[in-house]
Amino acid sequence: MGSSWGAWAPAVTGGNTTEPIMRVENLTKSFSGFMALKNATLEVPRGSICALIGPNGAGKSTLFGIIAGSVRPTAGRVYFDGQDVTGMPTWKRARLGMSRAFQVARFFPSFTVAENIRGAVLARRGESWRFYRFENSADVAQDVEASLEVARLTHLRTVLAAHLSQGDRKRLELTMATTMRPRLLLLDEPTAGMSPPETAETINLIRCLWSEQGCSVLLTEHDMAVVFNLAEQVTVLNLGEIIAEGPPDQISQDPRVIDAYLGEPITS
Amino acid sequence: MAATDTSRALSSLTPHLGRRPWAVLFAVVMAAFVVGTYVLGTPAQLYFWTTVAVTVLFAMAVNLLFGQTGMLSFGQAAYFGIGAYAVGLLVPQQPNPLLMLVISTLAGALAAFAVGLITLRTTELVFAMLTLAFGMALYSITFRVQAVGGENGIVGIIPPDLFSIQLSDSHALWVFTAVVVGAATAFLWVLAGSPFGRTLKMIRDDPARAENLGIPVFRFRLAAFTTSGAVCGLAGALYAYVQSVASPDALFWTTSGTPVIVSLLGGAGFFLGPALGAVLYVYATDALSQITPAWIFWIGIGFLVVVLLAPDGILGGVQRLWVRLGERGRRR
Repeated sequence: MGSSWGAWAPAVTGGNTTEPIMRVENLTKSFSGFMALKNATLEVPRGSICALIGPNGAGKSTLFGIIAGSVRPTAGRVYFDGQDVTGMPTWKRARLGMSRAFQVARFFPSFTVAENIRGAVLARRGESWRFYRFENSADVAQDVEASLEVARLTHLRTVLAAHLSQGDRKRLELTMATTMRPRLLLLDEPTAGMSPPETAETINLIRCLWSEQGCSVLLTEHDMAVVFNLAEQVTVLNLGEIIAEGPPDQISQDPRVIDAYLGEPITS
Repeated sequence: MAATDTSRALSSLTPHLGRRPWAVLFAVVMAAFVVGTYVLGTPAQLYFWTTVAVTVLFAMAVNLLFGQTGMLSFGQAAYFGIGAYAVGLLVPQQPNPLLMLVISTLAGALAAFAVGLITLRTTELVFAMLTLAFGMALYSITFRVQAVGGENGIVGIIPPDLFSIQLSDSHALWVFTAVVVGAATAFLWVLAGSPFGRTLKMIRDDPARAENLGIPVFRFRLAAFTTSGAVCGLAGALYAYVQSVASPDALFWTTSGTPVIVSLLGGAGFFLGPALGAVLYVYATDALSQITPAWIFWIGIGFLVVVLLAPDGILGGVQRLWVRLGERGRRR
């Protein structure tokens, strides 16, 4: 198998360190006439945690889909680490270091928790194309154990993923995404459907993974407490347009944002 | 913690290295069975078991797609038929029968690769319909082209000798078929347990998750489709040897349906599910058709009963029973 078949080593972090890890320029997306996204331009500075907020139908999911590669933009470009990735398939973006967790957790339900993470480890190591067994390779097992431990999933390792609670599913998916050691972590409502203690634990986990791995994070979230707790920079979408951008305390007082989304000023 | 116990039991039954002793035991039992039937079997019995072996291989090839990768193709008869016709066309040259198997396998792989390149970019339903269309197109062509025997197909295929072994003898043909099917099964087993096989199951479970882990889903599906086509071609070649004929029937859509039905019957989620289903299906067909001309009606009833009682097939039902008994035992 040649390298284009997916078995290459993870890309070496390079490029200009002052350049944003991710930049989208003038993104527009229309679904048969409906403008889901209008001329959106956005940057995720290297090493930062950025949040994307806005009411339902504001275009957050569309923007997320375009960044991750599952939605083709009508116009505009997506740059990842300085490289134009607009026409690149999702799996290649993932190989370059983009990792995504979905709003409704996606995982492999007929595998156990440990096997789910093992799948991510094998994919990261580019070993998915091996046609013979190499079970229990020490390196892979070590990586799986480390990931389980960080996410505090060790006690659930032999449970079938299909049997997990909503919160544990989200945590499993987040762990799979970070097991890829991404340079940009895309989190679509990481605490959706979680109880307050689970939410607190997840915020901790995200912060911990972020500082440990030195990655950048872009997340969407409806829970403003989570946004103001995690994000350094907030971008507000409404009706497909970016209406405000800035640090959380500035955004929470912005009259346009209050009018379109928050309803009232938020004090953190 | 009933859920945990159940899942533990379930995961211990998925193919892993820890099960290798069972695989060895299974292979030994099968080998003993082949030798036993070779010594004791009548030509009619051996013909029956040879037919079973070919159906088993065909079903397992289809289940590589259906059960393991989550793709339902209604046109695997195309590659089965291509394998059979390749043998039919080459037999007059009297080549080595093993070489003919290789050629049939490659022909199946090549055709599947070409069809897969086009059909795998589509959605599930369109994929099923397109594979069916390709199969039926091939059927219509062979039906009309006199060079391949038209509606009668290529008849009177006699397998050439393998070195000095006469494969036209039903005893020799049985052992030959059993060894080939056994080797192909071993190949599929190793594949199912490899990172590649695991990746196929990940794609079956959630293709979007797989894609976001950096797995090129399309290429993996194409590889699975090509491999399935190759093994279907091999099964078709054996079929031509056993039936002495390569006819358009082998390409008809009902031929594509049988392996899917037997996989569901035995349990598509299990490696040996399609094999068990194929044995039962061929046996039931054989036994019932001797009793009543309405045998296909009773097959249908039987299939309905199994699907209603055990939606995961016979092995799925056995597994659930096993888990439940285990839980009851622990409670005492």
